[in-house]
Amino acid sequence: MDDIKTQAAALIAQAPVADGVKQGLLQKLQQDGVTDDLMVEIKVAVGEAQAKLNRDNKPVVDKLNDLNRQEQAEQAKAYADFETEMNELEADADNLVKAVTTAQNEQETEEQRKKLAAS
Amino acid sequence: MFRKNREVPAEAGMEETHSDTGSRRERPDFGALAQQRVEAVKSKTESRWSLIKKGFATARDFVLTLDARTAYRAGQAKDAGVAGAEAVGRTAVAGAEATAAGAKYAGGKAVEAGQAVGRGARATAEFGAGAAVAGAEAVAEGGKYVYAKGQQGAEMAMEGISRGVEAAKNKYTEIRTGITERYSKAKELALSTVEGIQFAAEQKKFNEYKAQEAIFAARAALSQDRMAEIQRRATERLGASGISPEESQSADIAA
Repeated sequence: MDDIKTQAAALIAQAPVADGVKQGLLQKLQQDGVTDDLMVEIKVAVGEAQAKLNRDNKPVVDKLNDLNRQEQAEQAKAYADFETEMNELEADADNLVKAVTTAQNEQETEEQRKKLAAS
Repeated sequence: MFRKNREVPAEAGMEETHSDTGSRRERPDFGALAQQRVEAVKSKTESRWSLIKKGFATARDFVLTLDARTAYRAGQAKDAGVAGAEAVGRTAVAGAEATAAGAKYAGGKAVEAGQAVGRGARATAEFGAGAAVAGAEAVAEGGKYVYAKGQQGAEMAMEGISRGVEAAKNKYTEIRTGITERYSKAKELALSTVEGIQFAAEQKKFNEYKAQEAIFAARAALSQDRMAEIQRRATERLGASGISPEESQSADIAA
């Protein structure tokens, strides 16, 4: 348990939040140990810091998000085209099987007919 | 700068659990999906082929008729090694010689591919004459198109389809890689400004922290359900402070 507490302290030390916030989190850890409430506090602190970073760098973040959205849309379109091609190939294989089966059956029927006619 | 960041382990995880608020922004793994799709089609094709192969024992010299597209696919395999719009044109001509239907379908494909790569004129011109003849012959067949005779024809057609699956997979992989590389460069460019470099350095700390958090959760035996509940509560708290899930999400700096 102490080991987990030590690891939690190391995690808090690494959290990209202000020193004052870290101190508050470490104090809570010493008082209550590793609780769900503490984990919520850590997540809220990191979430606030991330939101601040994003706000401070809005043009860069917007640009990256736009690029990600565009990339995902292009990837989805490329995959959809690939899917269509694979569906066509599957249908081709179906058609081929049907064609071969039909042709084979017709030939067999014809040969049977010829045999019957000859007998 | 950007490529360096991609090596940070936390960023791989970032693609799955993507924010401090726990809202997940999962990216479909198109590569894995494509591989699964290819395997499924291959396996289906192989089992179909083994079924019809049995029939060759009793009927080998049959007349095989195929629809235009299937005939084209099989014809396409002949020129698989030749690249570009010219290849499509040549496939069309080859198809016209081998099968009216193949050529007819290839005509459309030649134009389509030619337009796509900007070399349509040549491909269409090369194909033109064959298409006209092929079209007439196809009509004479009453909508049914003779592709090949007997077992050999069937084998060729199936081989063409199998190669088509491989070609489709390779083409898609190339396109997918191209998109990834193009956007990777664009993101690299976006992060090459002074602001971008500073932002990436800061974001890297968040990503590294998130990786450590995941490791800690595992060591502390915090179950997924428990972490999800913790995340939900954190999201609620952030929301109450006027921070939306989007605002507290880390931007993807990895391609």
